[in-house]
Amino acid sequence: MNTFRSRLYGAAPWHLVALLGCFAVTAYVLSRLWENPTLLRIVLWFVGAAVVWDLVLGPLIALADRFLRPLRSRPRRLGLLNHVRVPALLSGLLFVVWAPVILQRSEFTFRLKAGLDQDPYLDRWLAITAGLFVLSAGVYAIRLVRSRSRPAPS
Amino acid sequence: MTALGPSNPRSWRSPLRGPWLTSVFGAALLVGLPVMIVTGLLSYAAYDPALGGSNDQTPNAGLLASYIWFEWFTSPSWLYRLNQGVHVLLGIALIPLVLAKLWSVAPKLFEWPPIRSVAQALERISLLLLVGSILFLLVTGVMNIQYDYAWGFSFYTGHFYAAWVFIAAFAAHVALKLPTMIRSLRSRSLTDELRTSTADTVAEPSDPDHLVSPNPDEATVSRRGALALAGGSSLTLLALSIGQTIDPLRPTALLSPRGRSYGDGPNDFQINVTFAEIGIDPTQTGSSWRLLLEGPDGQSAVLRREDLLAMAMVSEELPIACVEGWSTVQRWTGVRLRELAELVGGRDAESVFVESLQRGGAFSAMSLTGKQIRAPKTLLALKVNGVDLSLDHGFPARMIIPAAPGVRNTKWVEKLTFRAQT
Repeated sequence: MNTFRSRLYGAAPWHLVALLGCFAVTAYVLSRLWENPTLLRIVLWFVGAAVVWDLVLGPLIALADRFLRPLRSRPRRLGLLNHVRVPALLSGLLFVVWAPVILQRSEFTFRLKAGLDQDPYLDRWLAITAGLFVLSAGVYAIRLVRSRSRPAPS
Repeated sequence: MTALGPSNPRSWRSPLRGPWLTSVFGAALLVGLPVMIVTGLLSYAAYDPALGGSNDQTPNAGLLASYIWFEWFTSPSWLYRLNQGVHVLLGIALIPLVLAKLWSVAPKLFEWPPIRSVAQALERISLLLLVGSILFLLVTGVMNIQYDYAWGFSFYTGHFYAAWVFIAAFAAHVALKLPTMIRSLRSRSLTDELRTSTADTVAEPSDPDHLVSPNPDEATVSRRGALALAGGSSLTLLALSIGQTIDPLRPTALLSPRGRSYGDGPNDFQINVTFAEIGIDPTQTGSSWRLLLEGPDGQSAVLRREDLLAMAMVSEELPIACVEGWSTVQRWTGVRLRELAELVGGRDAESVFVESLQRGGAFSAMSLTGKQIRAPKTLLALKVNGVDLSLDHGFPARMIIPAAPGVRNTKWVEKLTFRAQT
């Protein structure tokens, strides 16, 4: 038992049992899809989703955040950082979620399905984004006024 | 490994990362994701895949469909509307929490050396299955509700099988991590965290899983702020989507394809599959249209629209609730399906095969169960909100089935074949 834990495997036996259960179901799913001609595409989107988030989108967001570092609060200076971060993040999130209609990627299908175009979505997203930044700027202005009317900490 | 690459723990600077924060996101997902699993599995069952044909979009499912030992319900009539509204809206609202959780454990992905034991290697494979499947489900779900089918595979196939991989990987992850989650949640007080300002925010004590940065930067946001941002993002997405399933709020679903108004006439509600899409000659829906009925013992009947209108008319307020999560409630008037069944000796039929004038198309012919035939609210609708159906809504006649997925409400019905056996 201790040899299993320390040398052979590296964790308790139930750890292995839980993982084998997970792999068994996955193997069964693969067996059901084995002759499906679209299996390769499904696997591609499956792995692609993880790769795009972990190695592309995630790092890009971190990188963008680095560029905002000069906006941090300093002694005697109220930072703009979070007043840019929050609306930018919300706007980016809305864009990622609703990209197909914002970019009118599915307009042809949508016209057939619903009889509607996708013209308004880009404008609406831009308007929401503008609204978020204006709101955030307003909150910043209020905080700025408040911090100036307060005596500076000695 | 001295350079500041992602494999160097010192290059991860956020003072917020740590087992407590990860566990708070984890706990929220532990509540939300099981709801996603249950509503997802129920949505699949709501098609009654045992009927075969178009009802079963994944005919090769084998044991994965064996949990369906019941026929889908016919009441309450809002059942599928609720199920699917929750599935899609919650799925959208969980996106920020999933991403926040992934952000909080990002350093683990680049850990060096990547493998220290067999146990760790296997666990990392299971995590790839977990992360791959949940992102796959979110991406395919979000694209499907926007009619963007860029994947080159059937949504039903991809979403269903990936869901089973997710269920397995999620169960294993919870089994492995639940004790850590509970211990970590207890390591700090939530009320204290909610009172801690950015200036007072410092990193958690270093942990055996190395989530905490050994080289933390000064905090630019408090944990309270991070939780508010994740939760606020969820609520923003929810607030901007909920209108797609509640008629009076529809205009508030600003970015949803189902937030648009068609006008305020009796037929001005959400259309899925327009008359133009199916490409049939409009004269086929005119005075030459006939409804063909076939019974289980060879009896048959041919009815004109006037014959149907002369039968007992019933009106019901029923939703059309799409698998895509949007819904709309309208007042439908028509003939009870069970009365049509009785005309051809199909009172005890086990199923009915409903065929549309539409040719081809994934759902132009679908079956209903005996339970649905006999449900008093199941109608062959001829009118909506007091006027004839429009061509886009299925004139001359369409099915309306309580509690069922929208796609089962076949439009432009041409033929009903009642069968003794499914």
